[in-house]
Amino acid sequence: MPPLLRVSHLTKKFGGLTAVEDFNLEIKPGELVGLIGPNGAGKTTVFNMLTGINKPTAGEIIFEGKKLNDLPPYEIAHLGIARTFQNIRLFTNLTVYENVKTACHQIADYGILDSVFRTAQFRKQETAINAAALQILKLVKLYDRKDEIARNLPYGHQRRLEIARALALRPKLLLLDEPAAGMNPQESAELSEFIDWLRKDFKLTILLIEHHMDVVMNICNRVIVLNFGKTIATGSPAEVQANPAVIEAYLGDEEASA
Amino acid sequence: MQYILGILTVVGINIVAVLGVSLLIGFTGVFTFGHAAYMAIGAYTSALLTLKTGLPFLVCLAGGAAAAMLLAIPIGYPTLRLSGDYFVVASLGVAEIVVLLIENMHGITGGARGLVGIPPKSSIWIVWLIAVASVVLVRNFIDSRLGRNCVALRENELAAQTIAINPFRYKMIALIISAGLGGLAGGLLAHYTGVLHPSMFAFVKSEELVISVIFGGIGSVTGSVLSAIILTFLPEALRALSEWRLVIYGVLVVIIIIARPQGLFGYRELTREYLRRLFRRPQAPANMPIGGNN
Repeated sequence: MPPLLRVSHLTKKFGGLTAVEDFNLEIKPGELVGLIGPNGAGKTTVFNMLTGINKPTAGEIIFEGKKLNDLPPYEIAHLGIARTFQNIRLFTNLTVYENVKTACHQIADYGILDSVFRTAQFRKQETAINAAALQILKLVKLYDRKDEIARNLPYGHQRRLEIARALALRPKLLLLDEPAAGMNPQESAELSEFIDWLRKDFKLTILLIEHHMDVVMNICNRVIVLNFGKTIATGSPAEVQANPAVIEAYLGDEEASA
Repeated sequence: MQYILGILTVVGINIVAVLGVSLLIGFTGVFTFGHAAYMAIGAYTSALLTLKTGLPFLVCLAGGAAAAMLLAIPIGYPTLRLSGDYFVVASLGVAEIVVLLIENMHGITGGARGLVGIPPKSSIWIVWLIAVASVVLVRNFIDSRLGRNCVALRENELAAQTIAINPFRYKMIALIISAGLGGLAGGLLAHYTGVLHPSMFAFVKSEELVISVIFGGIGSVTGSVLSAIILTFLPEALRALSEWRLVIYGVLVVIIIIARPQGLFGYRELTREYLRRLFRRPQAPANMPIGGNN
């Protein structure tokens, strides 16, 4: 099977600082790959390059045979890469329902005149949008809170809403940036179950940045470890966990501080 | 009676203009400080069309609105791709240029002496018909995929991009509609007052429009309409105080902004449901937001 995403020799320099150096990655459809590493290792920069927010200094990003390097974020999203943010970015003054509805906009293609004069085409497509949004809200179990303002949601629900909004794009590749951040062990266990279920039921391909090792180890097929912008290990969760370089750079730190 | 009818007509005209600015500032998050320019273009174009061609009133009005929309394209095209500040500065500059041009093109616009003898065709009925239609159409636009995309840009432009919204495209759409409404209001104004003078469209006018939107509340059509009504009547009610009028007006606006920073109806619409909830019980305090958003 050809890879869904192929990243080769990706490098990002911010002035004199090399945030990511020679990053390589291939993801096949349906895979769940984890991206881990200590703070400042360059994980989010990789996400930002994949989604067009930062332009790579060197290297190539190929998604379904298309080069993404110079595309703006909205076009990359249109091609089927959705993401969430480490520091949640919701449409805070809108309701939960409106957040997801907004993200369903690609279902419709009616024009301005259709919208202001409420034509039959407008009504039909809006009905489809409403149905799709409600279905997603049920999936992520936010249906009961659909009329709440996003900013008033508890933290865990805000995370879930952000994932719901990303799913509304019907993406092929989903990038999750620390979805379990700030969650307690029980919440993060629920979340990993949810992510695993998303991958299987939606046939989604997922790239996951995570600090919670249990999440990564339980559900990822493969793990890539970054440290200071360099890839120091790749392999199955078990292999990576046993890798001395990883233990020193990352897990070792945690043990030492524990 | 004639006096009250006159004020009501101006209220209707202001509703149309404020609605345009509201769409841009309140719903798309694009700040403008030069919207009087679109009113000026609409006013002069439609007035000149009436005077020179004698075409039907509604055609001249449409011509004015179209001219304002055309002006919006060269302003928005280079600046809306950049961050917000560039557009604000450009809108300020263009507003000054438009007024100066009108002042100096004596032959066509009458210059600083003004343009006189415009037939008073903006009856209260036509004005209110157009005002109500504008409210409905803008409301419809906002409550559609296009309007929601604009609102997403106001809420969080980066997040909006990650759900495949092209910021430039939707800012441009909002700007053009907004300019059209400004031009329409300008045309109505020209055919109400019967005379036009460049000073009618000075910076103060743009500022008034912005204040109206903030006062009514960001992201609220009903707030903007209510605010246009109140802020048009207020100076009239204060007329007895003559030169203290604008001082009091200013103080009132400042008080509102301090006491109610979200405006009359920030992010809310005045609906029957809202009123019912308002009178039934005091609102429960909102949960504290947890976690940063920016």
